[in-house]
Amino acid sequence: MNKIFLALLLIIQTYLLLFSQLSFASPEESDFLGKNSRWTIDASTRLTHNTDTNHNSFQHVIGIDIHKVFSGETADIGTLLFQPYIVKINNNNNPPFTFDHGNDTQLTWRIANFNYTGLSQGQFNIKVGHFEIPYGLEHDTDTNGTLRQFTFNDRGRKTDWGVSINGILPQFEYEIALTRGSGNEIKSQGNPHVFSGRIGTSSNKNIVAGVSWFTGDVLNRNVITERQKFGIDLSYYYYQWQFKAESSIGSTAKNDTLNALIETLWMNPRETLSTYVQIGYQSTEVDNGISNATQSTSYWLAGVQWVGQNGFDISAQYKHKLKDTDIIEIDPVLNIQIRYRI
Amino acid sequence: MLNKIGTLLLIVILEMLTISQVNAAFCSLRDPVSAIQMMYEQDYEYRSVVTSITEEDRTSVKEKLSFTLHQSEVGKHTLYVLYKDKKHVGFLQARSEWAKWGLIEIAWGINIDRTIKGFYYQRCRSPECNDHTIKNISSVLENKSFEELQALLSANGEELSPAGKAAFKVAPQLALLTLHSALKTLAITDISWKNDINQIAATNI
Repeated sequence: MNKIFLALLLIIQTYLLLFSQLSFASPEESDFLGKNSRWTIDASTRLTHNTDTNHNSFQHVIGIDIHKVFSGETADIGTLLFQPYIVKINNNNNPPFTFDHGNDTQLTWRIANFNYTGLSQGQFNIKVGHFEIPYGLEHDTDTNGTLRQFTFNDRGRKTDWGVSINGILPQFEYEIALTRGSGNEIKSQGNPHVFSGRIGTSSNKNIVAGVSWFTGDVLNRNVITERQKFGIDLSYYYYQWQFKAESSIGSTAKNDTLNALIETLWMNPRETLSTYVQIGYQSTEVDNGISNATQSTSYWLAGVQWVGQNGFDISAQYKHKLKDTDIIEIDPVLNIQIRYRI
Repeated sequence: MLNKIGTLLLIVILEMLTISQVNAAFCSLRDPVSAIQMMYEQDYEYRSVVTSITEEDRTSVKEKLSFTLHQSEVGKHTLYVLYKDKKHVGFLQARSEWAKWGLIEIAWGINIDRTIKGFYYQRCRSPECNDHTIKNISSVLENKSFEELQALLSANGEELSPAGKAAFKVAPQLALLTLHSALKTLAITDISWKNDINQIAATNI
């Protein structure tokens, strides 16, 4: 434990020293990627602490975030987003399937795509590459690398490789995607695929509503799971408060599911400090409806995030069960993350 | 365990006070497509021109106005150049303003002569930002130049002038914030994108 703690300190010290020395070449001033480009280094360290078993695991991440707009003489052609990250996990008893074991290091892709916007001034774009699957609250909220997440666990996939059409019209916004279903890497094993989409009202308004769907075969390690989800989401913004809700019906491996999440978030006027509470509920059939038996689980979580002017953000989140079952256990988990964008 | 976490947080907080950087999430960057559609309707094209707003630019704005951009606005920003039938017709730029409840983001349509074409609240979490208020504020600001807008503010820039108070009968506090944003946008456009604008003007003859 002491070794892990010292290692964590060492990593943070290295980030700070390295990036403070690099400040003479600030990405804000550098144009080495050409006109209309932005880039930044993004590094974070996350502690996951099971408060029942006192087990600690870590995730250390460092990557580059590149944004570049390609333009013609009188119109933009498209936008490139490129975010490769090296992720190192330590002491993880239940590693994500991208990793071979609990002490593994992998190259991961958060976002890596080109959105061709040259057809109709943002009304009809074509995106190719690795992107966030368009679904629910996640579509309009930046949860890239944050502790705060919504319901992607219910679908088993947050990002994927594929193609989408997307755009903004005066009355609504949309994105419809066909993706490989294999997540971080493009794998054809079992012919996975996901057809997904979200159509919603304008995200600029204080009341935003959307409908989403997610249907396909999702590859997790060597297992294909059929998932179908149909959801609605609603957001309401009132001064410093945000109220969000999402609900879906569908199936996972032909077992009917019902999923719901509500969230209340408050932020200070300078938006440097935000705190939120979520309550989640999921009900799942046990044996494809043969016995009519279902099992339901629920949890609450509370989180806080502090964002500094200097590129730092520190966040913490605690999750605890309201109800779990023998088959689906919800461990009480404390997460702490320190993130730095140069 | 808690002691260790506390120590860790303390060290990080102390260290970060010594480093000055900025943060931004690029995947959350979005073109102001709705604003362009609202202000410029159909048949318009836009192209992005990204530039760095510097500390020196902030100082230059301060010389033109009694207030300036927030520290967090130093960094790369985009000016959208609007074209119709391949001819330059204006600009659009989104800027942020701090209200007492948080951030307001306003997209400004700017005519070639640097008068205000219109504006669009890309983000305003107050119920006051409704169509009625927008219409009222917009009717005052449209087609006004930098000097005409300045006349709506008091000398110290902290409140509306008598002319401003007479003009903004509805939601005067929101109108004041919007006016601040308009002036800062016009000022920073001419300062930070000076070379780009000169180049565009030269090719538009």
